[in-house]
Amino acid sequence: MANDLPGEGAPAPEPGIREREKELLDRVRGGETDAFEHFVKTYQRKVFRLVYTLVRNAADADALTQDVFVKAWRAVADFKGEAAFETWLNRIAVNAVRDAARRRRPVVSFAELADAEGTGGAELPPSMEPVDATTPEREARSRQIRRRIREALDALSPRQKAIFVMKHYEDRTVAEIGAAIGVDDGTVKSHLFRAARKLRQKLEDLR
Amino acid sequence: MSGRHLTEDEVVNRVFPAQDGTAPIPIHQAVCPECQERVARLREAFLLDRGALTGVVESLPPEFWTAQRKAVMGRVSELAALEAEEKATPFPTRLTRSVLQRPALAFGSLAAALTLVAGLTVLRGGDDRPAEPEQTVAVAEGTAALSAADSADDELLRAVDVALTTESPYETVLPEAM
Ligand SMILES: [Zn+2]
Repeated sequence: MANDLPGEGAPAPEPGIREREKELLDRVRGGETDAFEHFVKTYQRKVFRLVYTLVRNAADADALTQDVFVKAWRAVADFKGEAAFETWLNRIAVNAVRDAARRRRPVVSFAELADAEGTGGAELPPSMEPVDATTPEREARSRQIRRRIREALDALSPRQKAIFVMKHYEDRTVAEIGAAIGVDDGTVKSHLFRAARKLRQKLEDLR
Repeated sequence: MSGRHLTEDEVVNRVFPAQDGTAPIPIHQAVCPECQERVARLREAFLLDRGALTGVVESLPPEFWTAQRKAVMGRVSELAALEAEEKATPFPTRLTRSVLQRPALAFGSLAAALTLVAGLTVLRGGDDRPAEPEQTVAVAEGTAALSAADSADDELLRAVDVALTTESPYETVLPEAM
């Protein structure tokens, strides 16, 4: 059974593939975990990427991504299948991030986790902060810009932040975002406009 | 020079359009180096951030994804088994919840991800590529039409969320001392 499933990193479903997903969803609803693994394989990168962009911590993003799929498994029996599965997953992901932020649990750093594993985590960057290090000046500026952007995004409401990230980091359409967040197109656009303005204000003095 | 300089909001809208697709370039911006510079600066800052995030995700090794998937499927299989058991016996509902509230296997994925440091080193080498706008859009059918169907799913999700609100994804995994 598992061998007829698309491979890791399979592309996003096109209409024909969506039909196939419907078949697989029926099998998932019947309790077939192998069929569910197809969805994990197909969407785990996208879900992780969205979550990571929102939380900017790999350990949290990993844990939350797992939670998203476990929640999806629990709920899929009643999922109508009329929305795209991916849209539905995105909604679970956005809600999971929002709830995690509300709980404000202390974040366990990557290094601490590695220490717990006995893998010499002390040398790991505490937050995975990729930078452009071509020159020290550029590196400093890159860090500064990215910190400002992160602060600006963090200052948005969870919903506004999710909308902004889906549009500008994930290239989703306004309609897709509306479907995933559960608001109409006009609301999406107005959040986008306000979020962008706040972001610019945060970056203003970087010139 | 044609017309006035772009307002701040117009600059923002050039880089972060609130609508789908790209708007035509205003004639003024096309000819005014100052406004071009203002738009370019904001765009560059954003692309720097977006490119860096993309770099992190792309540099995660295949082992990370495999471990993450195994962790998910481990929890799912356990849930499936418990659900089957619950159907047979009426009361141990609490067991199912305990599986939900512990992504303990995140450790597995993270162990694999330690090699990510190597990936980051590549990034530090100065590859400040802007993100390729990866086409992740999957919905070919009118998504707007789906929102009604979605609301039923939404109800369901809310129920799942409520069941999970009191649960922390982290606390059950880690010893208090950490
Ligand atoms: Zn001008």
